[in-house]
Amino acid sequence: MKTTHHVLLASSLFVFASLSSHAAPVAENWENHCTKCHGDDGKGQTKAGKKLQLKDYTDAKAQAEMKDEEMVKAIANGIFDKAGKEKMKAYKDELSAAEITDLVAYVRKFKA
Amino acid sequence: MSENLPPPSDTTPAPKRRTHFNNWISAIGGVVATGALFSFALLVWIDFTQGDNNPYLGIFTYIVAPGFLIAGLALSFFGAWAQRRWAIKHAATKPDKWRINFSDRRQRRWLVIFGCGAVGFLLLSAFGSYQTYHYAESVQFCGQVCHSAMNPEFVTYKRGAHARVDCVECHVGSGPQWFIKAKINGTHQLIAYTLDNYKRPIGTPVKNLRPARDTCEECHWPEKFRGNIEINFDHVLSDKKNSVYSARMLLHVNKSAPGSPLGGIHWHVSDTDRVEYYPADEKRQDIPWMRVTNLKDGSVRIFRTAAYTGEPPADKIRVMDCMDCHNRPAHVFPSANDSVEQALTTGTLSRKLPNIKRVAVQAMLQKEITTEAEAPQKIADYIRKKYADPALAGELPAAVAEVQAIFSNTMFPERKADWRVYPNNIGHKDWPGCFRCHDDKHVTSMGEAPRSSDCNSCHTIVAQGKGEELQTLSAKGLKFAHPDGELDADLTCSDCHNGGIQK
Repeated sequence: MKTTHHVLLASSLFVFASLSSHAAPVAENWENHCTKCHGDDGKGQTKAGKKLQLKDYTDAKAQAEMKDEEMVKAIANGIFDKAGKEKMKAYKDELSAAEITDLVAYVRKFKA
Repeated sequence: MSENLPPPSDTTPAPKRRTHFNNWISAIGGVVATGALFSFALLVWIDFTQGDNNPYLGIFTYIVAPGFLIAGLALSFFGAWAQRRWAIKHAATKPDKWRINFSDRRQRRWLVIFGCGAVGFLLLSAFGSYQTYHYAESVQFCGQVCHSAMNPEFVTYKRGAHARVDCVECHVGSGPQWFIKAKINGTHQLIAYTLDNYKRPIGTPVKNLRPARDTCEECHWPEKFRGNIEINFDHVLSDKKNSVYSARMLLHVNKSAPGSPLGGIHWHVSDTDRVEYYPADEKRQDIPWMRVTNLKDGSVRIFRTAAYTGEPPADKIRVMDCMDCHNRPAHVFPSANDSVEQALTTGTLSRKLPNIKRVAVQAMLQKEITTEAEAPQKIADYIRKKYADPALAGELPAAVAEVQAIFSNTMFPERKADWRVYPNNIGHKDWPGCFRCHDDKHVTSMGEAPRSSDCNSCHTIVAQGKGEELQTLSAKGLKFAHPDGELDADLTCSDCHNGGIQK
């Protein structure tokens, strides 16, 4: 019985640790790659964000306008304006598909 | 027997009246004054022969030595006054309490000892004056004895391009006027240091700093600003691979002197034009107004931002000199980014660790680091936590040690001193620098912008990128290719770059 409890406790800790280690990279990736324009809070109120007129991710309307697939594509391949000028760099070489998906989910959480 | 003696005569001369200066106190004062006079003469001679090399010499020559001279003379006169007063009061009993009596065998012995001591004192005065003079001009005197509060400045100075130029050469210069100003200012600093209420970090820009023309131009005279100099900026990107991205450029440092090409960065200190500006903030980062005066024909152009409609206070207008761009000539606090990039490109920090550029900078910028002593452990913990992969374990000890070393040489938590509080006006990456004026937002009443506000006026990028991209040089110059994609033209570098983690 005692051994069973230890195994359950250890398993729980492992699952918790796995979830934690899974959660940490997305926050890190957000901080490392996104905050310089989108800001810590996703409101896009940085100097670059204001210039580029970025969306406020806490705004439900802005969130509704974005589709998950489009967001994944934008993160992976970058964003270009009509003239072909790069507005956001492509992250497919820097982030894995899973990391990009996690980032999309992370952005969704900004919705107030 | 006594009857045979001649009667006392009225003509017997009275005992010779002794001077009141004949006493031990006056003698000691006399020796001190003589020693001070001797030192004063020696120091005056040094001042006339080597004075330009040591502005601090004046403090010993014209303050310390005369101080001792006056003290010695005062002691001498005090001895005479005290002796006279004693003689009046005790005329009937013992009028010569402190008299130097040569007929007294015991006093003669003391006099010999006193004489030997006096000669020794004179010799020590000469030797001591000379040694003190040399010590006062030493960097240790400035950086460690008087100014231990300025350890960050001392550390950065020793690492800087002016490490072999004595502090006083720039901070005081030659001549008595600035020496006195420096000493008055130093007195305030001494009081603040004694009361432990000096500013942390030490404030900049230094107020009432001697004009650069009297100090910098002693070595860097304007006629030397000719042609171009080549600079390589080897940056490391904040990506997993720690990719290197270089920009190789020619900086046009000439000054439009005869025989040189027209234009050039040092036109700002030209003999034919005077550039003035009004800084709206203490750090001189916000410049809403500037004036260019042609000294030949007297024509004036005034540039201002749209938001600034007033006239600047006359006493706040600065004539541009070396320090307005080269504002960190000797105490450079490199940014965390620059330090880590340098370590990565020179190989002292391994690029095998994914994202080490960013991780190293983050480790140095932890808010939890509040003292220098705790920094090494916190940096080590942070980096080790980021690289738990056993395959990278072999790279960690050297990486941790390198980041710790970078921190200890560039960041000073107790003094709150690092690059974030000391804007560097050279360039325009992490601070506005050149863009304080050359931003296309300053115009004359005729709508004219400052000339030479395009990139190629100051520098020509001859190659950029990585690998083979750096093999081909462009004589005409390349348009800067930002490694993170082309950015909005309205953004300046420092809108995103800050020397640390971009926010």
